[in-house]
Amino acid sequence: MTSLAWAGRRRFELFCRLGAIVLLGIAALTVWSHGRAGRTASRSSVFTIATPDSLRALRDLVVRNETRAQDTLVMPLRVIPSAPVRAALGTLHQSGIAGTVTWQDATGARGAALTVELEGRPQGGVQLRLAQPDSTDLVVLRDAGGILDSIDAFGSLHGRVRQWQLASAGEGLAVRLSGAILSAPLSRTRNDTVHRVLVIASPGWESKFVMAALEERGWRVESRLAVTPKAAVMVGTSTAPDVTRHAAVVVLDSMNVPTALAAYVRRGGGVVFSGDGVRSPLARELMTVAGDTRVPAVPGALLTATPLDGLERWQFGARDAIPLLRTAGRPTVLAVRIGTGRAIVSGYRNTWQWRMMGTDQGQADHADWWDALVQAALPIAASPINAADPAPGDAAPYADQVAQLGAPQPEQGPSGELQRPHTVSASAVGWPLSIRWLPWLVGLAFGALLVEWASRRLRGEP
Amino acid sequence: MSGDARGVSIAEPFVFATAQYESGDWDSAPLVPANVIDSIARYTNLPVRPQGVIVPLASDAALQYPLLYLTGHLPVRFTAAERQVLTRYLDRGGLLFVDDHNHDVDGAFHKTIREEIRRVAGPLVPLANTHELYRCFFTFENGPPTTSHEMNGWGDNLVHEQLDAIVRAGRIRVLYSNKDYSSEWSFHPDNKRFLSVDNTKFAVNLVVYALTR
Repeated sequence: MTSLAWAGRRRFELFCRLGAIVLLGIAALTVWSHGRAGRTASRSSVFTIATPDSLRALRDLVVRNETRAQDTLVMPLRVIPSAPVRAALGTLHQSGIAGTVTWQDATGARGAALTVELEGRPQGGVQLRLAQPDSTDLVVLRDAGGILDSIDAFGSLHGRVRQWQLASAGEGLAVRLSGAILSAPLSRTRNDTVHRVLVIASPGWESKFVMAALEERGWRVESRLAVTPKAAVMVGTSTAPDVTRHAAVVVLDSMNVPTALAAYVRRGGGVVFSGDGVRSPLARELMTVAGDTRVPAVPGALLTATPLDGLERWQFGARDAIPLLRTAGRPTVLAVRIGTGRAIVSGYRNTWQWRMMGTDQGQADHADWWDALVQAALPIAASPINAADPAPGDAAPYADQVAQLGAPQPEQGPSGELQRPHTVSASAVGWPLSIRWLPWLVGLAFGALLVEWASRRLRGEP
Repeated sequence: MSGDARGVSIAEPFVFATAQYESGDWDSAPLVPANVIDSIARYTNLPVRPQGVIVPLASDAALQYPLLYLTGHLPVRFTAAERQVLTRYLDRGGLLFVDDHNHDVDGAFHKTIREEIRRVAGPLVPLANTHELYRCFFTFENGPPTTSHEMNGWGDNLVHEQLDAIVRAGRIRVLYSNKDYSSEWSFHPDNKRFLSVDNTKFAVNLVVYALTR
């Protein structure tokens, strides 16, 4: 072999050796940069998600394994992501794959909610509830006819719910709050027109004054009061519970409760068991509650500020019902849903004494009490939100976002206690090679060294 | 009221109450309560207490009895306390049944009690004979049943075609009679067997109305 060929062979071997050194150097840099990236992410990272497409960038970040379980990803969100993105973020947050995923609220959303419901009482009316986390602004309530009311918002009543009761309201009911306009559709129910109450009772002072109280509050009362087995006093024209006719049924007597009442409740009717009505087998069947013990009235209490104590009452165990009123720690008024209807149980007996033997306010209080019991039994839609909800949480995206990722993190200011996190953008340029290339780099380096060693040995050199 | 182990309960018994007032002779018809109670038990299934009660009109105890019976012959002048209690009683939904035991529109009781009622609750007006009071249990096609005292020409020698009343919110608060039911019903209940037609049936209507409206 000529000296020229040997010289070329030596240059090739030198190139292989240098190449192996370069490759090993690159591998070392890759290992070093990977370790540096891990240390950076372990402090805290801010990852900006502004559009749903950013979810792909977040996925790449996770797939590149650039985050660790101890990392914290803080995302300042300018808009509430769509339902799929929220679900993905929630999954990521729950899984812990990318560490702790939190967010900062840069959406400018008010976090306010407005509900509008028609009152179930015969006089009608509209009830509005406005929930607003924090505001000191002016709240303006208006409908298509103009401004209805304007008040200072919550101010120091942080997080409280503001409530209005309007005698009437037109279409386009809305609240203006800090430039934002919140509107909600009226939830109309069958009770808009059904104002009849069927009273199932025996003739007596309780039935007489309960009917009087309900009529004073605008209800049209119907009843069949049996005076003998064959003769009865009819009030109104109907005596059978009917969901299309009766807003509610009041049961004051444990006897003579029609079996059709169970079907009436399950089909969406409301029923109030009161006094001895709570001892009826039907109350026991529907609500699994019954008056267990009878608590005597407190003498003279009808003339005090706690007149209910002056009434004898049945006392219940709570069981599966929702206590609406407790006395001395024991529930005395309970509510339960049955099918699409509601049932209310009130243990107070002889409430007419409240009216006749109480204070001068007793008559109005007695009427209000019965009006409230009947209204509590009305099966008004629980949620006034009528919006379609094709994806979970679409009716209330902000709330869904909070449910998925928790409450937003506070903005961090210079004087804040939290350190401003180190910013790592998803599009930032760093060391171009991933740690995944390390085996290739090392392999190529050893390959080059092997080729150089083989070439040298074939030339007969050590 | 009592309840038994099966959850069946018995309604509070009706108690017939007679109003006792300071002036006049409030106890001029002592047999009426027993006779009315007998009729209630005889014709209806309403639970009724066997004995009536006498309740002072000046006492808040009157508020425990939403149907009160008041009668007499002599001039009536309510005390301030009686007026106060009666005002509250009527405002809260009680029913006062007043019967002129004289059966005399020119009598002292008639003139004075109507004035007292006017001062407490307003003027009495004739009650239509088609009112549900006359149909709620027994049916009285011609309104209030005529009494033997009217037919015999005693007192004012008139047959009163109608009763007077004060009606509030569709309910009778005060029912006033010149027909002298206090005399008509004032006999021992056992003697009903000698009557071809029981003349206390209207009392049953009165009690049934009071308990149901």
